[in-house]
Amino acid sequence: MLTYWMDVNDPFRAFDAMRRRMDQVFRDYDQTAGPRVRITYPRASLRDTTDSFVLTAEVPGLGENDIQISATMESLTISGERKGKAPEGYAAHRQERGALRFARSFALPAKIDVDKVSASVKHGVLTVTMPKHPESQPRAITVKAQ
Amino acid sequence: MSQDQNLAPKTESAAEPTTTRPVVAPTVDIYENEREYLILADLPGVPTDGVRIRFENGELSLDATRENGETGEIIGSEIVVADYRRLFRIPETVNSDAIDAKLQNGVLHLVLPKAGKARPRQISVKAN
Repeated sequence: MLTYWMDVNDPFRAFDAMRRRMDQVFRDYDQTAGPRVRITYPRASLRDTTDSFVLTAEVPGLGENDIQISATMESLTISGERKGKAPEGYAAHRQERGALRFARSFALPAKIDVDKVSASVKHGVLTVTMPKHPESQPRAITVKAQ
Repeated sequence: MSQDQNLAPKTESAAEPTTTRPVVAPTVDIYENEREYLILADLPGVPTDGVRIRFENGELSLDATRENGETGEIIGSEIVVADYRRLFRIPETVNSDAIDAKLQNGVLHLVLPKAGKARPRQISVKAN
């Protein structure tokens, strides 16, 4: 971001104000995503919390029985289905929330302890916690002076 | 720029935003039967108290704030922690006092009951 000079005597400060406005317009536009793009898989993110990997995925409308998860030492697969049918007896005016059927695999950066993987779904967000395999845990190495 | 059509009109002031959270329009379904309108909106990550629904001047505004509870170093992320906002024009036949909302699995169910049909009125003709 550029510095805005707010000098009262500066005859060109109108341009500063204009640039400020333009910056704001671009920033607003950049931050505004429309509903037009329909995605066919849940958006996900993967985080590293030192002792485990945490995967979160947006799965609005899916309950615990609609999601299947499988894991190997180095990968995780989530799959599920959301039915996009109109409720019984209703006529549809607008349908942006499509039916969704997906299977997504993630390669993990290090080995995980498959037996300790746990998953929960809350407010339409799936969270999978994958504790790292003892092999992948960071180990502190002390430096000795000689 | 057509993407902006469903969002609240931006104010004309050059006020700087105090948060850098983006605002996105949630995807919605709108259904109707003879008794009510039903709006379904995808609001992943929004707790029940994070939803604000306001009805004013024939417009229903839906605002929702996402929880920001994730920790750890990001390896990869497609999720945008955003606020949701969308406006709906509501026909006058809706009984705005009886609007009902519930949040289930990250999906908002908004029920807008139609008002009872205006009773047909009989006009009597008077003889002079």
